Amino acid sequence: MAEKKLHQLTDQDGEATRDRPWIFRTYAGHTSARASNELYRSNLEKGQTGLSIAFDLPTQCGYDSDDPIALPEVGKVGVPINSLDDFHLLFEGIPLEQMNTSMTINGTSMWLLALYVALARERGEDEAKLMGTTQNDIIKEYLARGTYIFPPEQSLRIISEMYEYCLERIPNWNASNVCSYHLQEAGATPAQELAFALSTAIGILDSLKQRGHFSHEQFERATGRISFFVNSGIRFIEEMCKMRAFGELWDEITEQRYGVKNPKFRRFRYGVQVNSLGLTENQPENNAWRILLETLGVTLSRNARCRALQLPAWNEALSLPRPWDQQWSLRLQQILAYETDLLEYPDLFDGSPVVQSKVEDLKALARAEIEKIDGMGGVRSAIESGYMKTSLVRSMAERVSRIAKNEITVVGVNKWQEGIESPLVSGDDGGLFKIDGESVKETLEALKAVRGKRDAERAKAALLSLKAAAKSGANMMEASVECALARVTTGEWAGALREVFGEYRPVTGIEGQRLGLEGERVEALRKRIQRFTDERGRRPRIVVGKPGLDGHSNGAEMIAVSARHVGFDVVYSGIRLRPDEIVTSAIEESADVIGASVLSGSHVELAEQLMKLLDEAGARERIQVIFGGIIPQGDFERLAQIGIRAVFTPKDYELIDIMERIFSLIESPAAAAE
Amino acid sequence: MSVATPKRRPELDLDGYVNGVLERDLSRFARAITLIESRKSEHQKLAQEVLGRLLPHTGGARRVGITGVPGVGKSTFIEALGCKLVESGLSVAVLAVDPTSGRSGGSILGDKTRMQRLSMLDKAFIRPSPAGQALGGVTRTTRETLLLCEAAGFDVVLVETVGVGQSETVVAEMVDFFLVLMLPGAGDELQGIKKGVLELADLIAVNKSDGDNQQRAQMAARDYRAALRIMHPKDADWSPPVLTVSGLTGAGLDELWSEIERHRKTMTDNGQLDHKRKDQLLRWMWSMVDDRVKRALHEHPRVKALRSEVESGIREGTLTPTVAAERVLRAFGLDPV
Repeated sequence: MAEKKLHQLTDQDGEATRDRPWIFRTYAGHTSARASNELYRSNLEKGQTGLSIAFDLPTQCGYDSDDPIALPEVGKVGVPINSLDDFHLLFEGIPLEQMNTSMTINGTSMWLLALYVALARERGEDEAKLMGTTQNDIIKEYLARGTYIFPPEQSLRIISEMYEYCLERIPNWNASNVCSYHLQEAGATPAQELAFALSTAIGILDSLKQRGHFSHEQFERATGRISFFVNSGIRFIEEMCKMRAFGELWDEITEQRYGVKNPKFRRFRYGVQVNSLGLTENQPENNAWRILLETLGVTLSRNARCRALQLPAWNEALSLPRPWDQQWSLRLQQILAYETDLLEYPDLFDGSPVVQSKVEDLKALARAEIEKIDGMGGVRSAIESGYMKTSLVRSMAERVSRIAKNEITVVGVNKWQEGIESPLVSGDDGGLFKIDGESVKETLEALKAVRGKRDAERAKAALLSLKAAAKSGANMMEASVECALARVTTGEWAGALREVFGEYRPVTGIEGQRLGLEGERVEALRKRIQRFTDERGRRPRIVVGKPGLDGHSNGAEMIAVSARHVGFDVVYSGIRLRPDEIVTSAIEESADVIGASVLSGSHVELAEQLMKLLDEAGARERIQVIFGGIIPQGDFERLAQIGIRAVFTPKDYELIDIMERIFSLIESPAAAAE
Repeated sequence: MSVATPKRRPELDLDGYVNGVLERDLSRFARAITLIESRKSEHQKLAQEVLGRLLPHTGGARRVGITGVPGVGKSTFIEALGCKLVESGLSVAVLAVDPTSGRSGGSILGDKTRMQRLSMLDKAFIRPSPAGQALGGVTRTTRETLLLCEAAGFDVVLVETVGVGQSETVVAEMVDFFLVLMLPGAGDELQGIKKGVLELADLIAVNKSDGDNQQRAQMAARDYRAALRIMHPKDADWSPPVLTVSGLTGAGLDELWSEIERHRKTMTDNGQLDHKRKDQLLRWMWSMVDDRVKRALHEHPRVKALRSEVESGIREGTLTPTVAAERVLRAFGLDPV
């Protein structure tokens, strides 16, 4: 046996060895079940080692593809799944027993897991061998992502029932995946990220304990199944320290609070997608470097290394990635894992006083925040009271203010903006991914076919059993599997539970927010707005809302907060609104402007619907409409023809610019001429 | 993107507003409310003319005030009740009294997200509290908006308040029926309910009586019944009932509404309803006069000039409050008593 050297990683026999790499994933899915299946098979051939399924918004929010609110969104940001038949198509040629499948699904997580189980049963594969994760973290949906359906209490019940179902029957399934990823996207500081995610996990464990379904031995194993999904930002040293803090705090919490004795079940298991928040629309090629650096934060430290990693694409701020963009990100992972010597060493940072001090600091901040949430009665109360949401909106407002004041440097955005035009966006497709508009037909026909040929009695009975379980408090998982087998559709499953549980509308968190945005231009604009107010006897009024199903509300929230800051009266109606709801609100409030925010790529359809409704109400002259979101330059012309007066994208990061432009739209000709 | 100057929105004239309200044309009706809310004197003059023309068409609605501490589930409750009323063929307007402190700058108006279903019904209209007004301003605009809703033919006007400052009293003073929502299983000292609010109640409803909460809601209801028994009722012919309801499931809402109808019948038969409304108008008139006189006194140049002198006199003990008050009143032009 060779002499042991500290820098060498050795196996049980003392032989020098190398770690196995983490799972390489690519978050993917679009257009239709058939198109996504082709994409998965080609990605697996390229060396991807696990699936990460992106579902479209109607599937995530529990609507059938032919529901009016769903139509503009079908297949836009992921794959549409209406019934078990779609799942058969989606996994064709992919053996479930050998595949590790991660599903980004929350409000309808139980339904998608039930479909997966039903698929295994119909194919004759062993349910017990299924491996993977349902994201199923409802807390961050209320806070950041917006695909919640039911109130917190019932949502926590669904999560708990999935843990109870999976523990013995699908032992390698992660029933939920506590996400801090989206919290960082919504502006969370590292300490908030730690505290909110750990408080969510505490909420799940408390719920499992209170339900009393598990023996202590089972509870320990269930604790071991809790996994996390974390973000990694550009401050990669701090991010690495954050990951170490996560591991140490989780070990501490599971041992001290819950008496989990087996250290294996106290391990912090986590997957990562690196940060999208910091990716820029300006000079988008720079994002490739950002993604690389962000990856280091979650791979450098062996003791805090992720188990699975998916990377965004360099052009994320422009559109959905094309297959080539995804391949480029996958290659980065492969080079890091196989070409470099990263996986040959023990942890590089153990014993570093600098790292240790930073980790202790983060832990102290996080503990204080966890105690605060405990004091409120836990994560559910902190959601229902709006505390967590309000904290995040405040952090985001601070971040935006600091970028505006150049306290945070963003290359190509507030420094070194001038540059040579990127050749990467000059191809025939302009570097953008386009959805084939015809593909929706295929999805809708399949849905019609399923409804036509299923055993209607069986489907009806299955839905009745599901409702009965929902009312009685029995576990709804088996009833959901029967629904799947009976060819019940996504909208029917969610609709049945909506009837029993009701729908939830959380606090928007924007009231009482302050923005650190001052200066001559802000003052000048306030004066102009005051003149308008004196002249009209009221302030200018803007209705801000998100039509459609996309729940990414950061942008809309910041617009609402900054409009208030400069002197508008703001009606913020939150997310998941139908175009007619927004128009009715604008008319009932006598608004001057509608600001619609769309990130899912449905802006053209939604703009057409909004303008049609305004025409019908005879209000097109009076109410100006503006759009914001991920909108390609190529669509500006089309939106202008429809009647949209201005379009804002992530390029327009200067809030004061946006406010000046919006106000100029409604300022009277007389005032504008001065 | 270039930005062109839009056409100035066409102004409506007196007839345009009046007919817009009477026809319940949503867009013109909403703009009539904006006119009422306007602080510009020429708008206020026009608003009073509009109201004058509409007055003969007012008085027909059931006016119901609703209060409850934050977290009591008021929005869910109002939405469920409103949808139920619309289903039964009635039209419903929801107004809010939520004064903002005199802060400069814009405001975030109460979001409607919490009453999405109701806001989409043709026979329902929801208008948050006017922006950036202190209680006095909100009171005036809400009262006058209530009259517009009646002229537009709404059968029911619900006026909600979050209970800031004196807002419950103000709302109770503009409605026929005042409903207080409570949470299950928490004593009123825990609910941050202000002393005196229970005395305004014509009915107490313990909300969130659903799922595991039902038993706690029943217990809370018993406690409130006991509390009300030792209080002196507002009206000889009406002892405020205590019910359990659920905005989430709709349980108890039918019973609650039939109590409101019973109250209306009782108070109409004994003549109290008409009496109450006239009293409210008189008090409203005098409170406006009081407000104006007070403002006029404080803004009077001679009073303003005297202010710091008499205040420091009182602080230093060289002046008694009575003498100082006499001097201020004389400066305002009042003869000594």
